[in-house]
Order: sequence, then C-alpha cells, then structure tokens
Amino acid sequence: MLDSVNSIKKSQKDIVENIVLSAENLTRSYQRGEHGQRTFDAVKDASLDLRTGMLTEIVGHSGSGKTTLLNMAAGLLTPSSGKVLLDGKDMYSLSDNELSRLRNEKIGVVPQGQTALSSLTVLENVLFPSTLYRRLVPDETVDRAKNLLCHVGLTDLMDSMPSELSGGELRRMAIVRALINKPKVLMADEPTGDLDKENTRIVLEILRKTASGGTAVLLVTHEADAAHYADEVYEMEEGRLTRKEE
Amino acid sequence: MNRKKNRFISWNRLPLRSLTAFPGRTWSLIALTAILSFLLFGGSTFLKSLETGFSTLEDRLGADVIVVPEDAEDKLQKVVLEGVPNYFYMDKKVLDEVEKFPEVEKASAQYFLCSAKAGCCSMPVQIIGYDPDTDFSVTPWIRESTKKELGLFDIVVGANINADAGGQIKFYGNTCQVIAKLSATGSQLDNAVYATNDTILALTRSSVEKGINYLAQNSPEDEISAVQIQVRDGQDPESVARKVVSAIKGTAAVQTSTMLSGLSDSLSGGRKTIHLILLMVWVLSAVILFIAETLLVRTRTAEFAYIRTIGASRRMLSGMILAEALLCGLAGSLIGCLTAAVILKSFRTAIEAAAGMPYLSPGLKYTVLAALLSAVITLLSGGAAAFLAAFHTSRADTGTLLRKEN
Repeated sequence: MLDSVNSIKKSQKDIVENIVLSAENLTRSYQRGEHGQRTFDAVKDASLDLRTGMLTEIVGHSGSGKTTLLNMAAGLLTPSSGKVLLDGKDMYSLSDNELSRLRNEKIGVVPQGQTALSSLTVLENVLFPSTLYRRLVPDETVDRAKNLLCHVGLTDLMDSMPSELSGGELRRMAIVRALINKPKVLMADEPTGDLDKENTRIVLEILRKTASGGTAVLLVTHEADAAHYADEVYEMEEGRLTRKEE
Repeated sequence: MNRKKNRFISWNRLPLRSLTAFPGRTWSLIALTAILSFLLFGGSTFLKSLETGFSTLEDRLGADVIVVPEDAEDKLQKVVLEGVPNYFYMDKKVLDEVEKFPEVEKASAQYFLCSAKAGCCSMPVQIIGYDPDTDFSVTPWIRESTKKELGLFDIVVGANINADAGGQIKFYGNTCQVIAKLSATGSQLDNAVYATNDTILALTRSSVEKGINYLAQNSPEDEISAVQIQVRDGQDPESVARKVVSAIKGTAAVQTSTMLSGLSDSLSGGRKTIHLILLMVWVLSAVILFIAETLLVRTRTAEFAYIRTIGASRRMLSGMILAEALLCGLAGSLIGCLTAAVILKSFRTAIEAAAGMPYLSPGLKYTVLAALLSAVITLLSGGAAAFLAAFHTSRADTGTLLRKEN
C-alpha cells in the first residue's frame, strides 16, 4: 500500500508547487468563561503555506489548536491577529458576501463529525455547494458528482438519504461534496475520526489522490499512519505550530 | 439526472425541502402560528359581528320611543332582545292621543301576534303587524327586499325564518304568501314575520274562530300592541316618553336608546375584554414563537454551520431561516383563519345565543381584510421571532459554531 502511495508522491513532484494559501502569524485568543477577563491563546503565531499538489498534515493532541488553525485558514474563524492570503488576497479583509463566495468557489472543507443535510439525498448533498450561486446546476457538474461518488464507491447510494449511510460512507460523501466545485484548497478536519482501518485507508487515499491531482490539501488528524500519505507534516503543541522534518 | 431534477435542489427550494423532511417540527410551528391567527381573526371577527349586529338592530328599530301597555315593558324587551314571542294589547285610541303631542313627528301602530304552530317553524314565531300608511320603522327595511305592496295574507319574513320569497306559510289555517325575506340583523328580529294590519286582523279572527281566542279579549279592530314614535328634531325622546306616560293612563314608554343601552354597555365591556385577551394572546404567542424558533435554530446549529462552511453568506442563511418561518406562518395563518371562519359560520346560532347579543357577520370585505391583517400580524410575529433567532446564529463565527457542535 505504501509503495503505491510513494509512487503517487513521486508523480506529484512533477506538479509545480505554487503557494495557493498562505497563513501568516495567526493567533486566536479566547476568553475564559462567558464574561471572563482572562484570555488564552488557542493558536499562537502560526504560519503555514499550502501548495498546489501537496498534502500538508497537521498532527497534535486533542485541544492543541489544530481545528482552530484550520478554521482560520478556511475563512471560518476570524483570527485575533495575523492574516490568511488566498491567491494573494487577504481573506479577512473581504466582506462576508465576498468571503462566503470565495470559500464556495475555492475552498472545500470537510468539517469534523457528520455534516450532511438530512433533508437531501446523497447526490443532492454533493451537488448542494454548486447550487448556492447559480439557479441551475450544469449537467457537467452532475456528471462530475456521479463520477466522484463512483470513485469513492458510493454509486449505489447516491439516491439514498444520509440516515441510510454508515459513518465511513458519510465521510466519503463529505469529501466528494467538498470537491464538487473543484476547489484550489481542500481542508479536512479529522476525516478519519471514528472510522475503521479499511475506511481510514480509503479516505486517506482519496485525499492523497486529490492532492496529486493538483489540489492543495490540508489534513488535520490524530491518525499516525496519515503521515505516510503527506508531503509535509506539521505538529501542533499548545497552540504552537512546528514543522516536522522527514 | 436530468435538468428537471437539477432544479429540484436549488438553494431557493431548500427551505421547503427542510420543512417537508421534518413534518413533526414543521407542523408544531404551523400549529403555533395557526393558533395565533385563529385567535386574532376569530376574536376580531366575533367582536365586529357583535358591533354590526348591534348597529343593525339600532337602525332596524327605527323609533325613538315605543309606547306599550304599562305591564308590557319587559315583554317588549324580550321580543326584541331575546326573541321570546309574545303579545300584549291596549286600546287603539292610544295612537290618536300620541299623535296629538306636538313633539311627535311620526307615530304608527303595531300589532303583535304569536303563531300557535306554523309549518315553517319548529316553535311559535312572532308576527308583527304594521300600518303601511303610517309606518316608518319596518317599511324602509322591507323596501330593501321588495318594492311590492303587501296585500292580504302577504308576509315578509325575517332572515332566520325557514321560508323564501315565493314560498307559503300557514297561520291558523290561512295560507300566507312570502313576498320577501329581510336581510339579517343578527338580532331576534330575524325570527319575526311581518304583515300589514289587515292580514293580522284576518289571522286574529281565524284564531278566534279556531277557539284559540286568548289573543285578544276585546275586538281586534279596536286594539293595538305598540305605538312607534319618532320625535321632532331637537326634541328629547326621554321627556316625550315621560309626557306620554303621564298623559295616557295604562301605558309605558320605552326609550329605544335606553333599551339598547344595556346591550351597548355589555358590548363596550366585552370589546375591552376581548381586546385585552387578544393583546395577551398575541404577546404570549409571540413569546412562545420566539422560544420555539430559538430552540429550533439551536438544535440546527450544526446544519447552519455546515451551510456557512460551504459558502452561504450570513444574508443567505438568515434568508433561509426566515423563508422557513414565513412558509410555516403562511400555512398557519391560512389554517387558523379558515378554521375560525368555519367555526364562526357553523356555530353562528350557538355563538349568538351564548353572547346574548345581536350577532351579524360583518360582510366579505371586512372578513377578507381581517383575515389579511391577522395573517400579516402572524407572519410578522413569526418572522420577527425567526429573525431574532437567526441573527445570533448567522453573526457568530462559523468556526465557533462548529467547535460548539463538536
């Protein structure tokens, strides 16, 4: 399995490693308690570049600040200080409308837990991000959704409701959904949490292939084996981000 | 998937999909808004029906003062306000004496008769005889239904009598022709039958012939039941009533406004109470709606956070929550108003009896306006509750919401 992963990594080196997203000196402070005077820094002065075709992994203990950093990088959480540049544009200088649209078009996020819309079928869930800013979904997007679902082994379940899917299937659906708009950046927060070994392998391979296909992928995980799929690995410890050398 | 199916999952349709996917949640909200709109529309229409009934009765009575035998004051009120058929008589000369008063503009006699049993009615009806030459209180209303002069055994029936124009009703063996049916007043006058004095005299004679001779101890030609008085402009009906009573022995004079003042007071008190209840219900419903919307939005935080994650703006998310609330409000308003309308119409008689006051539906224009206003208030209340609940969620950082959910 690892041989095939390494061959994918090698072919990926052919892709130009452009920086797509750059997080610069991000800090996020929280108040302790509802009206607390004291604050603590969940993320301290973290900088990170995400490059085209590379899978970047952040590992760390629970509560170390990984998710907070991912949310800030994804434009979902305003940093206390620092900035996030996407294609050279400071995301947090944009209005909510502009930032939302940018996120829709360029960033795919796989949040923690199950985030399917239970009123929509699997295929509709996958297509949903592509419906936000247009009245009709083009046929090619529908075809793409079907191909992606086929790729992750969910062809037979595309007309099912999310409640009929297992945890692994829901996670694969969430990845496909994050990819539907061909984002430049894919961010996955603990995508293998609660999954068995087989599903974990499937999910990590999908992410690896996505990176190799030219997308900048950020993976936040506890999974020890995930490092084998990553091009670079960072470690988060008490809000501080450090790069782990190979 | 074809293009038709693609349309099905458009952003605009998501609120409807969310509502239909969770029928329990949706019907709870619809039920809440339906109760609010039912009470607003039902309450205001009920109140307006009382006001319309009262004002129609006031107009229909026409006279300023009604002179009756001295022991018949209560009986007259029972005939007019409670619909209990009755009869009482006094000498016809009372009319001549009343006409002599300079303060009296118009005076006209009426003759009250009770049917024993009529084919059309399940109970005795009040038959009111009037003199077409001098009458000023009944004729204007009859003119609204027919231009035809009433001949012998021609009758005009109140709105509640089970017969229509062209039909026939038998009284004491005489077949009476129904010439017209009066429009509803919402009062007990709707249960009466009107005829000219000639017809009444003929009916009275028939009743005597049939041995039902309790109706008049003396000759019916020499008796009347009441004298309707319209006073001249500038004259005080109360002082006219006093003068008549002191001048004509054995009579009582009922001032119409006084007779209706009890009703008016009850209506005024009832109006205040109903307005207060409506206000309290509205505040209570608005609070309950707000709590329900807040709880609902909280239980759906993960869903909303995810929708933001994929790129929906705050405005889009608030719009979606608002659209769901408005759809529920619209359905609730419709159900509430329709239910209220059906209940008010179906149980009109029971409501009228329970209210103890004239009760007349205010007409289509008012009903439609009241329904629209109730729907707007309901929608605004539900919309405001949803907006307040959505505001907090949409303003929060999506990352913070996701963190809370995890």
